[in-house]
Amino acid sequence: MRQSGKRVLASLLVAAAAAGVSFGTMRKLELKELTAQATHVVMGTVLSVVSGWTPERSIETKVRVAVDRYLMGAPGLGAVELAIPGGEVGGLGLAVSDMPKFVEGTRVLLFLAMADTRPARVVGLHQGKFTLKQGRVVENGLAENEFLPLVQAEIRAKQEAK
Amino acid sequence: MRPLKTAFILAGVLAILAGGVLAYKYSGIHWPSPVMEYYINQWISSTWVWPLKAGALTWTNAGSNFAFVYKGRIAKWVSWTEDSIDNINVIVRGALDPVQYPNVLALNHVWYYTGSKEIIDSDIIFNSNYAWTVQGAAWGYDVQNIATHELGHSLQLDDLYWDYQSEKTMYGYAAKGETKKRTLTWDDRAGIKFIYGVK
Repeated sequence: MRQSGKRVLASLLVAAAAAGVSFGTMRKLELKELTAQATHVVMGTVLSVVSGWTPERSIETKVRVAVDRYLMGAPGLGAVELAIPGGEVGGLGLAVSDMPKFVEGTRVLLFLAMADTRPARVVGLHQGKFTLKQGRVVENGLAENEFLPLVQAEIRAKQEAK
Repeated sequence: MRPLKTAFILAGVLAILAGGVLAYKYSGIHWPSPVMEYYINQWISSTWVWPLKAGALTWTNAGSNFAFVYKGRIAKWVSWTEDSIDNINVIVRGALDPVQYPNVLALNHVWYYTGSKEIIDSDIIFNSNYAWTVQGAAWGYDVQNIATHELGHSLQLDDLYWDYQSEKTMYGYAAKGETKKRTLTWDDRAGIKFIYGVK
């Protein structure tokens, strides 16, 4: 019984961790700030997540997202590539605070900052990434059709303020 | 000891099952032994030493088998490369790239073996782009408050982000003048006891 209970708890916690965990301490950003700092707000599906060594001998994870909807920013890119510090290569892992975690095949809504230099970065690190699953937003528990109007309202407010 | 530990684990399970509330998050990575020796970079103000050590002591006294052991000041800096895999765990203060790490007050990066899930090295950096206070002043971020949180990551407790978790030390957001992370909640203590066992 003791071991069984421990295994149940471990499973729950590991499952929670696998769902997307990062660590560190951040200043909390509301939707308004995420929108203000973003050049693009997009929806899409994660195509690939591949970790590797950088030339400086650190580990980073390259994430490719197929974009199917632009909520803000000039459309045109079929896919965006993100480079996230940390990941696992061979027998070594590097866990870096506050980084967004991606899983292949999942749908996401991303607040992105794109400059001339690629790859794009996620605004507010994990705060700018929302996972869309079965009509709900995993990170805040809202229904997708409740959350999208909130995002669109912030985008309109930003555009009107210009 | 064993009945107490069992009750503790079952209470955690019940807390989770009742309403889907998550008491704490554990990454699955752990130290090979329940001790982490740590150093404080020599360029950090001496006024920071006590608050940093107090943050570590809070976890050491949480009732688990785990202990932080302070080893003194050191010249070591942190890097993002494999050069930093040296089993010397250090706390530093430095400027994080505001483009790469916007809105980040402090962070902890941990190298580990993927097979055994054992930690090799854990370094913490406080972002000098923000104002820091050692007295919980309203104009800055409290050193002990953030240190206690970051050292929780060294144990491999992960951030919590839901509003209902905002009183916990492992809540992932912080505000100026905040000091509530200095003290652990029942759930924070439950986390360290789950990973490293009850003393």
